[in-house]
Amino acid sequence: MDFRGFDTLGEITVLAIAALGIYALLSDLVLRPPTADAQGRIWAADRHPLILVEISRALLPLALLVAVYLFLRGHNLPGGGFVAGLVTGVAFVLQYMASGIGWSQQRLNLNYHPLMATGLLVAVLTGLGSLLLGYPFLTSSFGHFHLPVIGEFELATALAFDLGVYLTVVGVILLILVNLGRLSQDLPGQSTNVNERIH
Amino acid sequence: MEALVAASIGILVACGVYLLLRARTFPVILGLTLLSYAVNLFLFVMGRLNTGQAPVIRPDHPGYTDPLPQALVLTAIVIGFGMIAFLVVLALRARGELGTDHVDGGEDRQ
Repeated sequence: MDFRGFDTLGEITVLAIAALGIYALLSDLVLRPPTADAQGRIWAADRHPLILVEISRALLPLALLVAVYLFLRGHNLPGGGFVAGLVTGVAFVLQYMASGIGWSQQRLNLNYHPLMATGLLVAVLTGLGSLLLGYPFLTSSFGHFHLPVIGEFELATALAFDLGVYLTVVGVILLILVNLGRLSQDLPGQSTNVNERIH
Repeated sequence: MEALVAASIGILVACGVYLLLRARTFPVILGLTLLSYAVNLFLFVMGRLNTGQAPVIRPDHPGYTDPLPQALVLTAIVIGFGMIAFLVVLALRARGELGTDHVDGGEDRQ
């Protein structure tokens, strides 16, 4: 991320724009899924299998821990903001899939548009920070710190940029997938009816 | 090794173009995806195939890999992912508006 910052800034901007376009396309879309498959067999009545519900809820803190680990190791080893954002997004989407949109929206009451905008803002401000000190845009620096339990730790200002990337990717994934999931909620057995768009 | 990669690119392009010329929207999406993967792979191998080398020129170490194609392709992959996501949703919206997933908007319409 030290020498690829400008590329990455362009990438997250394009992802955010694509997510906004997808949100606009899905906003008034009514697409009723068929109640039976091609041979006429009706889908299973159980929309939220108990095993998936329990396992997904138990796995959520572990998945978030893996996301933090991937985020922190991204500077020198495979990892970084993108894959950490993907793991977090997938963990949350699993909650939506397993327990339903209503249940998840009650607990994870995030507005995804401000989340994406915050991510982009953090990334740009981190780049501008180096301008204030007289260096070119997106110059990064690093230092070694001694943390009490963890020991020797290397932190770079690229971490703040990666945080912006992380927030943008989480916002993009959740905005796209949750609004796609909202399309298929008219099937029988769905406990809540969430008609408004999910921001 | 170069022959293998070139053959893979050729196969991906062939499958991509074949799918792109289908009459339904979902095969078209898959065709565009395969075509974009083929182009990304092509750009990547433009910087000579080397295994186990760092993208840094060192005076004591003879081999290196070209970092510029790697950088270009990384950005291209991420942007391609965003475009494919948008394309899938566009196809869904077209299905909702037109009632059919035919690429011309209907079987009889030209």
